[in-house]
Amino acid sequence: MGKSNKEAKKFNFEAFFTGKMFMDVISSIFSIFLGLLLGYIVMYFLNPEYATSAFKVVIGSWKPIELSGTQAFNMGEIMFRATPIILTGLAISFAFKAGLFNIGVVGQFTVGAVSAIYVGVKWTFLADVAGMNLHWPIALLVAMLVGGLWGAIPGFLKAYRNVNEVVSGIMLNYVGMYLSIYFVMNNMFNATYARAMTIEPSAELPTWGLEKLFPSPNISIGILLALLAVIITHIILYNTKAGFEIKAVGYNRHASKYAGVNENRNIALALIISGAIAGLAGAIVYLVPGKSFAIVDVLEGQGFTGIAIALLGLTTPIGTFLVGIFYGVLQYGGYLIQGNLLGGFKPEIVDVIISTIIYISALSLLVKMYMKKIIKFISNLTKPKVEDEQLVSEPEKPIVEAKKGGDE
Amino acid sequence: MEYVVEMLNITKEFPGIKANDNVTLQLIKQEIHALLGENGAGKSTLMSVLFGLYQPEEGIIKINGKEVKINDPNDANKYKIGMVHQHFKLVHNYSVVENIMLGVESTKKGLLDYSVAKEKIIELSEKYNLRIDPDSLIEDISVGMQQRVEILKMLYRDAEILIFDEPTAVLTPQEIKELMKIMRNLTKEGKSIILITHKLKEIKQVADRCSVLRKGKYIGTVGVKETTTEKMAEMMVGRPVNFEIDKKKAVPTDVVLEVKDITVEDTLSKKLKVNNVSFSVKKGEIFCVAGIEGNGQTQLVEAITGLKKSKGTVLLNGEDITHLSIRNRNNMGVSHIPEDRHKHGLVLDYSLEYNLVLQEYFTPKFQKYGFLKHKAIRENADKLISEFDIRSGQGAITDARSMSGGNQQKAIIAREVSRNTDLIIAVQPTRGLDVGAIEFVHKELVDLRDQGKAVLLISLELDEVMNLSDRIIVMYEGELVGEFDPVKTTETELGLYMAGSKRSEV
Repeated sequence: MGKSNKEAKKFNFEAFFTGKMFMDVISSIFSIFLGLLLGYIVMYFLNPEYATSAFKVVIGSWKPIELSGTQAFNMGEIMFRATPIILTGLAISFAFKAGLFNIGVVGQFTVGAVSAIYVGVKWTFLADVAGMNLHWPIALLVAMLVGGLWGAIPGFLKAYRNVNEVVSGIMLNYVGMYLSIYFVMNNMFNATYARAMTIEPSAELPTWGLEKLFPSPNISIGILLALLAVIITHIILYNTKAGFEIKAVGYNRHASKYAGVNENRNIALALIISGAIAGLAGAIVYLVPGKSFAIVDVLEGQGFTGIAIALLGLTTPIGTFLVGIFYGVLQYGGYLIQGNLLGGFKPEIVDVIISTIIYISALSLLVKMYMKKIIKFISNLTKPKVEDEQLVSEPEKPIVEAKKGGDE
Repeated sequence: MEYVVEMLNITKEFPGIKANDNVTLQLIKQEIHALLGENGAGKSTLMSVLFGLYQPEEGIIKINGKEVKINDPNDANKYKIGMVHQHFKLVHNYSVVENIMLGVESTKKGLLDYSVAKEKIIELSEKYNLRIDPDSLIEDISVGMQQRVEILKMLYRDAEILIFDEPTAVLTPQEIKELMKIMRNLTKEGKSIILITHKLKEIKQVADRCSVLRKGKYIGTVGVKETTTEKMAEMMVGRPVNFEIDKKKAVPTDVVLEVKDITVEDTLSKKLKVNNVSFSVKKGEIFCVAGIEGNGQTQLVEAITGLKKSKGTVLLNGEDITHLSIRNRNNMGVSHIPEDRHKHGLVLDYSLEYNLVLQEYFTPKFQKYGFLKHKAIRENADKLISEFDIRSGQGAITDARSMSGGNQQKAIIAREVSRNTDLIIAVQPTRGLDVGAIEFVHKELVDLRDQGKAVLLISLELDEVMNLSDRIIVMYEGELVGEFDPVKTTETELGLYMAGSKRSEV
């Protein structure tokens, strides 16, 4: 009995450290570490003198630093940068749970943004509806609705015509972008700046006193909305019947069908929700003072970055949130080190770090394999000696049995 | 004693498990040596070691008395070891000759020379009495002939030691008989054979000696003539096994399932997979659809459960369910133990407790206002786990993926049986299970019958069909070709119907 107890303990030790969750988190952390290291090396080659101090700023941009000429807003700025990325990452994560790769977030983000701007510019009557300012809430809702509709197209195509959502998503990204430009030029074009018109102040997202907590001209309730979206999607995925079905379809479409789940409906639904979240991200980015939609034929980068953030966050809502904040830290750090006092680095260095992290995380299988070996080695070292002896003495019995058998 | 192969004290370890623990296997020249063990006993690992796919931690391999090191399958070929795999490794749109010469092509001036190869193949097939048609394509010939092609492939490469991995799994009783004749022929001509199997009856019929493995350990080697199947089963499982299924005479009452003129078309080829099939299943009986794999049984079940569209009528307790969704059929009283437990039966990445509510998570028992009742789900899991003795590493929260096949099947059965439906459709419920688990499944099905449920069993194993059923129909190429009473028919007769060489109007 004693032996089996010990075996159970040993098993648990290895089981935990080689368990899926632990390995996933470890490999994410490992990729982040390697990405940072490579970023540092690149910085060192660019400017050895300032590399260390600038690098410290990049990874610690939430700490107040005193630099003449640069006013550091820190947390407010980090949140401002993290918010859209958290939401696009969340959109990707959610679709991932249904086994879908919603690369169409880029387009959903854009159409959401433009429809929010349209509401912000044109529907001025919403500023005072029975004494309430409904302008920005309606703008957000419309953005979610339009983003959801844009997600519904690849959703229905996938569900009922089995069209690969990646292919239709990529196509719709371009359709969404050019359609948005066309729409802006025809309805709310500011020819002087070649941009969309500026939204009414009533459509700007309020701050609800957040600026006192995190002083920054860019702070808004966007970060709260992102947090809310994270919490809601987490609850949907892990606590509701709908989430049970969506995940079941994602893990095993056939078994879901067998269990009577309407798998087509769930596939469409997952992409619609994902699109709505992406649309919300687009609205939050543009419903701030001083930001306006530029007429350029470039796909919005937030969508693609969201893919990376979702993957690093293990495609879970909470993981995506944490990694999104980390991304905000790096982004703001990259902004800070442009100053001459820190060596005048280009902020693109942050993109080098992020892309390295993604690249390494794609090798997570390799990381996991080596981690398992290392953990096994450690667990062998820590094993008490008594057990080793048992392992040696155990096989002796069967040999006798075997010889008997052989003689028969 | 002259041994052609000796594997002495082989130990092969994988992280966390000893797949082979001090295993010894000695093959005498010209014998048929059975290697017996349940799933996961280490049979395949041992053969992979012999083939050079794995390197053992301990132990030595001797070929013809000389110690050798086998580093990869090429070495194994060099020592004239050949294997007939359970799933044939043949190119379907190549001819028999092309398949056999693939890898060791004979050439003339750099061009393929079929005539030399064909001559050698015909010579070999005559010598060992392996009937083949050298010029036909693999996709056009029967499974039995495909297997003979696999055997010829080894002989063409001058293999002396032949390993057969579960060779009878895909064959009809007639084909099995022929295979056994072939195996005896081969040994007569000087070849030595290792036969991997878990079917005791076949060992008794054809093998000379039998080595038994259990949970990676070597249990012993016995002469087949001096022992009984019961004794071998006990060695394999570690306790006495009851092969006889205890069951009373069936007392069928009302009709539960009635199937009328079901026809299923293949979506791509438009061939009729099920052609005008009608039957009915009553309460208190086990009704069995027998047949060789791929004769329309899968599609028939899909039509009844709603997984596939079909023509015809399906009545459940007299109500027409032909046009209902899968969910509605399930709710009306259809339980389905699916053929492929990984594809249909389980969401492998879900925990055991989630899998146990896969058919009921939407009922008020497990959800309220759309929110899951995790406590009720856990209680349900704990109850079923103890009731059905489902074993897993961490209980209710274990990933279904990490459970053994037998326990996965137990989980599915627990889920389907606990729903207390009138009709239970069990498709190959014992596929890939070990003896202990098979016993459990059989007992469970008989119990359900005795409780007055209608059991529709689809099985490829003739033993199971004969022992378990109260009524048998045979399907061949999508059609019903005969109905039988298991007491009055024989395996041979069923075999003839299954192979399509006999039919009676039903």
